[in-house]
Amino acid sequence: MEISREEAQRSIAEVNKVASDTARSVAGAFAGPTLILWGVVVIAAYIGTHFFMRLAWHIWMVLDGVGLAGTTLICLAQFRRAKATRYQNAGQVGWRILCFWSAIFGYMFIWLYLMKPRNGLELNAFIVTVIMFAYVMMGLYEGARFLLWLGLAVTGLTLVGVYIIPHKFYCLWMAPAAGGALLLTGVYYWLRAKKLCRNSTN
Amino acid sequence: MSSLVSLEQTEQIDFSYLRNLLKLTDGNLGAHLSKLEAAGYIKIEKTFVERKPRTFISISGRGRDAFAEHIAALKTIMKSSKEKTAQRK
Repeated sequence: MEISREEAQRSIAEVNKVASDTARSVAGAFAGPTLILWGVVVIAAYIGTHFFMRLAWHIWMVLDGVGLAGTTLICLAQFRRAKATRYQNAGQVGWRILCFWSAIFGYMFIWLYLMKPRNGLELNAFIVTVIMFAYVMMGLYEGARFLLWLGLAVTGLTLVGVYIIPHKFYCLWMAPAAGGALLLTGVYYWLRAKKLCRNSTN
Repeated sequence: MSSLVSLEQTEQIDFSYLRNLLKLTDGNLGAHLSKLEAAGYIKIEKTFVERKPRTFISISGRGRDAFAEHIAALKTIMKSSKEKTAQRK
């Protein structure tokens, strides 16, 4: 049976679409709850910082700690429940994720030490954009395109906060901009994953 | 196969999740998977997760190779068709 060029082209386009839809769905199912958690953490931290600027360091340390602990518990639960996919080497995958983020934060601290931001706003913007850089990289290399766009969007919004919004409103801008972006993306993918995970039969 | 090939080497996808993602029925997906399993292109594992029966599917090395060959063949068709069109011009 001969296949025409158009049929071959359509087949390849279909393959690419299904493959990328699957990669995006699976990544979203995994990332959704974590994004929701960090969205809430970030919103709370920015609002807290705006109203209690002197306690900014403590607010971020405590809430980041909550975020890290929550992320660990969510990842462990997801590996255990395997709603969408599971790994035969879940330990290795978890280790790889841990190493990736450890490298990101390790380099971030090195760059902070070398560059020494002048004030809290620059420090915060630097940290946010480094983390969004990690999202962009994950989006490029893990097939999770939504992370790429989320990373770029929050980076853009952060730059708006630094260069356009009056500095006294930076935190009030970043709460919905950065936190809201994370939260809404997480909710979208969490709801989508819930729908795809339903066990209804035909 | 397009769906499975996007997974990592050691990653398995849940049957219900795959069915909902591809908008197929249980019977439809089951029939496709049976044929792929018989050809040795995929592995199907039935297990229990949190005391609930679950079915996970993964692509085999042979399946990845066969799929890559299929894609290469489609690209060859497109390339040779393009060359024929260019020659006619």
